[in-house]
Amino acid sequence: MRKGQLQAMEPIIVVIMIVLIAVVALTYFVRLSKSEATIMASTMDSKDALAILQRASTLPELSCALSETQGTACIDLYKAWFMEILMNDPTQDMLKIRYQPIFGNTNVSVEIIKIEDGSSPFNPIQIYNGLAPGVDYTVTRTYFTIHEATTDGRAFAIMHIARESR
Amino acid sequence: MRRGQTEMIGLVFIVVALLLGLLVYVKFSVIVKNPAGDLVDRARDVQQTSSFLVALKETTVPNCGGAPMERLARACIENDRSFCITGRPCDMLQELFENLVKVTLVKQGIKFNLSLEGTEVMVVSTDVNGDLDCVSADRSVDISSAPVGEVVLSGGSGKGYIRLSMCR
Repeated sequence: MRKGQLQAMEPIIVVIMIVLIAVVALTYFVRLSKSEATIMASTMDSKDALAILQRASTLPELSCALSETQGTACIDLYKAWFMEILMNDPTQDMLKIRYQPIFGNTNVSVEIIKIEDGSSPFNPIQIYNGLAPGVDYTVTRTYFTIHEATTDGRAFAIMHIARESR
Repeated sequence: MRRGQTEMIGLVFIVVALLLGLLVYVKFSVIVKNPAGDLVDRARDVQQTSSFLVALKETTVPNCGGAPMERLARACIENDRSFCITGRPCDMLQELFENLVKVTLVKQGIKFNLSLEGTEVMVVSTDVNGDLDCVSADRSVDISSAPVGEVVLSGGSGKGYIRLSMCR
């Protein structure tokens, strides 16, 4: 290559270099933002799980009797069972619309743990199913107690909240 | 200095800047990837451990007149043998802890350490070789979350702590 040709190429090389540096910097910042967004989304999922539990435990349709609540999250077992029956009743479709602002686009189920022998005596109780069928979802768990009025006992329980993957 | 030499120095400067940029990118892309995952897990762990301890303290002890687990933990710390029918509250608590974690934390594949401070009550997850994999003395593990559940002792004489650590 002649000296003159090299000199003519110089501005082009400089521009290419600058563009490359800009692309590298941009890619890095995009990755950083994505990473921050992932952290934020996960933190929000955790907070959201607690918020759903708090909302559910204050609904008259699910809450424990006032004397049993003691200021912490508690759901009544028999109310939860009845809620599951209602949610699975095709004639009660309006209920999903009614509870959508409370539970959002989620499936909420409750698993009861029998601490005496470390078992789950019943299938999980599905108290709300607002997640569109066939979508990819992630599950967040939070723990609380479920009150059984007939024995006046509080059993350890897990609330599984399935929501569409972000 | 000739003009050609100046241009060569300029070109070398750009190449060095590009290499530095690449180096910084590679370094940060590796660093950024892992803490994101770690922080995501940590946020989840803190939420889970806190709610686990609150629920655990309120759960009713079977066949003990509706007493909560917090009352059993207090009996264990104070060695109150008059509590419930077994007369051995710490053994009972150990058994209930084991039953509970079997269907919760173990089932979810979480490394954990659940204990009642000041007593021998402790349940720790084990690895594939059967070794304990979440003990504070083991510096190879990272305890990502360790909230405590307070147990108020009789007559307000102090507090005991149920501790749940999750490890990565």
